[in-house]
Amino acid sequence: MHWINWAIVVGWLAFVFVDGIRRSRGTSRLEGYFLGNRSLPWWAVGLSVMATQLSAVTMIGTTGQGATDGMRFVQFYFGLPVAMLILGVTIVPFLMRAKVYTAYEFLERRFDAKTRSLTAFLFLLSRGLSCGTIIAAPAVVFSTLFGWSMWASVAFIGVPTVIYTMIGGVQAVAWADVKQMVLVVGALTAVVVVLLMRIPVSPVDALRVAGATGRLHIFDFHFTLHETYTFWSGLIGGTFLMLSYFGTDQSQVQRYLTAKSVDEARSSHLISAYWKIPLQALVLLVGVLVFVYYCFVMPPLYWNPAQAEAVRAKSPAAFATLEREHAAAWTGRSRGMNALVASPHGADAGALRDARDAQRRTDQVHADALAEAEKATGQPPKDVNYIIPYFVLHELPIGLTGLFIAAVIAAAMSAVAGELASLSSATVIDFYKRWVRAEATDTHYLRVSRVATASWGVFACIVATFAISLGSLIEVVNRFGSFFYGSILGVFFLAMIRRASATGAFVGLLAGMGAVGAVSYGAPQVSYLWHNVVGVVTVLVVGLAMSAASPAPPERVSA
Amino acid sequence: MSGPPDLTSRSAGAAAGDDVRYPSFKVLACKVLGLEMVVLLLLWLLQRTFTV
Repeated sequence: MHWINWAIVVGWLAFVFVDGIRRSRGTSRLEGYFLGNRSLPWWAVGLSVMATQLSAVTMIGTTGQGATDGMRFVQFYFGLPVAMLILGVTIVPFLMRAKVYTAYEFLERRFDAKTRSLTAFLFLLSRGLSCGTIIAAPAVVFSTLFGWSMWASVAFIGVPTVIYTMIGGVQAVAWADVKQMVLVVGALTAVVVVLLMRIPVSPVDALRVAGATGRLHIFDFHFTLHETYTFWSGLIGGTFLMLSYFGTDQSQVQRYLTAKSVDEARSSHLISAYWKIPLQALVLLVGVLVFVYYCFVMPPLYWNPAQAEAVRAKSPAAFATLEREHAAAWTGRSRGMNALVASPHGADAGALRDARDAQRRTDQVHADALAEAEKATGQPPKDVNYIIPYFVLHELPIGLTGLFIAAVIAAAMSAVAGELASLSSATVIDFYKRWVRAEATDTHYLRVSRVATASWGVFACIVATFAISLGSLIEVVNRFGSFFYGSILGVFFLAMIRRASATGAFVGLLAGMGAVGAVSYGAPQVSYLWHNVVGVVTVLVVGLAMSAASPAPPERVSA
Repeated sequence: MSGPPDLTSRSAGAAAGDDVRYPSFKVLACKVLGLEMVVLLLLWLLQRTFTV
């Protein structure tokens, strides 16, 4: 990569790092460190919430998904605005008025210590490991592209993030997130502009090519529990997933607890409600336009250079054959797409049929190439994550390449920083302060909090470094995580029902997790988006039934 | 002519000394759902226009 691009990347990292440390002023007390003294403006909180969700996986993986699968993934987010509105009148005012540090602290005030500790433990378990995977995804790509060791790639992203989060607390995280969001949106917009300028057909014809190959097939109104990306799965299942994520996950709850008031917390949430779907559509559109670009410019046989090297070294004859087939298929596709855009209104039936046939041939050659790569490396190929990095490194002008790489690192940093701050707060508030040392000075708790942040950071970096060999373990933990997300949401809903008892909530939580586990293993074809619905409904039904059978709860919280 | 915007004075959760006036939640909800409808309509038009 050109030195100017490196200068931009390093300059951005240094800027975020120094500014993050500067923000440590005002964090001499625990409330400042974990909640920014409950004084952040709504727009900063809202941008921070969006930045925490937008990880490097979005920048690399989701754009790649747009190139290979089109824009239908955007349906996943259709429930988000509805969820934000429901949270605005339910969980947000409850937690804000309870003046808690963590979402789980609220559950002890309303129910009991065991419900709080179990939910906090489940959060630490799943988030601790997922934090590692957030670093690992871009680190694997960087190590392949730049020839770095995995340790160096992880350190490049992880070390500055851990240091500024440890020193500056949530205030540093939130303000860094604001800057990261501006950079990410700016970089994505710039890439779209460059693509529109460099694709050798008009923007309308580019969209015709994308439409002819199914990349603009966005809506699927088919109702099925087996598909994740349909209108109904996104709207109904997505609403419950977003309710769980934004309402009960400490990495999100901690953000809006930094707001000045209930109104500001609600307003911060509505930023996501307004902008998440358009932003996600923009991310996918980048991928779609990259696909169109490579319909007219010859792409490599493999986007991942390591896979190309592995196949070339193991079976040079097969590699040469694949390269010939790839070149022939691409030539046919390019000819087909040119004929399509030259036809009247791009809708000539013959041209359309030829273009689609050419696309199918190209897909078949690519599938054969990936099968060969799997044989050569012994691992399932992940070529899709290298599409956008390849385009960025080979096609973008100097400066913009650096800007995009900086945006990928920025996205990873903001997601990781948000996770670390929330892991630290749950560790200190829900375990250390609750079970180990209930009375101590703020200085003591602050010191413990910084140690907790650093420890989680080191743990995340270790998980990231060994992510490939830990792959199956992480998958198990992620699957386990999907068991309890909806169930925890059910417990929070129970907390708002006056007659619900502590025993009802705890038994309901266990029953909800058991029900989701049974669905997950008994009917694996059911999309995980519906697991949250199963969890919430089971917790509410079992929790209310148990509460009816047990004595009325004492009044603990007036919210 | 439209009337004045539907504003409430500080809600119970607003910070002391905070004079910012926020639109009522009903107004915000209408805006959010309205914008979502517009975005979905635009995406549907994109699909309908270019997917043959």
